[in-house]
Amino acid sequence: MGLRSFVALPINKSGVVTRLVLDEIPETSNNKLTSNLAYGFDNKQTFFLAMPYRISSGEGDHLGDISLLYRNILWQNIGSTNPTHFGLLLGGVAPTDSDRDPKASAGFVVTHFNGKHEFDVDALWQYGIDDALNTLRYDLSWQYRVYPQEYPEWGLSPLVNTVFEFAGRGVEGNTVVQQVTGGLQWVVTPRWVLEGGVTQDLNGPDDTNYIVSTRFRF
Amino acid sequence: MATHEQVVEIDLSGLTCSFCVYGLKKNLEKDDDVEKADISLKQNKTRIYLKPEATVTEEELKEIIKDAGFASGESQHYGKEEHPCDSTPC
Repeated sequence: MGLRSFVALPINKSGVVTRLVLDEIPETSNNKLTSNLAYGFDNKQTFFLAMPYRISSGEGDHLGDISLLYRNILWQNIGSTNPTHFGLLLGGVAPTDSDRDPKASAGFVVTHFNGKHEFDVDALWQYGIDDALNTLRYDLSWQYRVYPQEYPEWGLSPLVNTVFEFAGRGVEGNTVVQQVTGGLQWVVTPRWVLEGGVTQDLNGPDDTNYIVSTRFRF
Repeated sequence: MATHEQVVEIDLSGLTCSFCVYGLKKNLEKDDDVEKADISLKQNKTRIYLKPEATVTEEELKEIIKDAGFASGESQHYGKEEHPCDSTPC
């Protein structure tokens, strides 16, 4: 999986993965820390939860709305050395403040692995209920394993992947902001990943933001 | 020299990442008959060391692999005198 989106996460039955993501946009009050949780019901069904928290000082709520998603892998080709998965996403956004309204979410995610390469594509449409605005997000991610060139005979050594992403974030009535991201993922142990990157808006109000994230598999 | 009574090697596919390796190893080692499971992303294979009194079958081990979200292929079952630890380090 890439840096910006959690829904391409590979997880198997009874697996629990937590992730903390720090998004920092210099010179704004939108710096946030997002907690993610994923649980694998079985080999095809996964439950995702995300809870953002704005860490910048200033007016307004610090706790953001809670996002819930269910992923069902509808089709997969795991019988080859280049597996592909296609999953449907369904869920919603639960407001943590009575001034905001909920949203219903639907989308898809595709992942494809080919040797040292991983490609992920996901899109999520959020339909605003009552006064909530509709939103759209999509991510295209390419990860390439730069170290090691070859896996050890047995077990895993630490891995390093480069990550390149193209993404879009849009809110009803506004232009979709296109973004590019470059970063690194360091698989410290088979259970623990550290990653970071820089995102550049191509047509949005924010020039650059920084992402630091850590994932842990229980 | 290894001391395991039985070793089963099973070819795998669909295994792609560190979390997959960790998750599959954990699921296999949950089985009461499994002493230890090693996984090779390089060879796309798992080598499962069974306890001396183990009664689990290769088909049951393949079912655990399937439940974890991966596909299994050919398998080999080695007895005490012939398992692969005799020729490669375990």
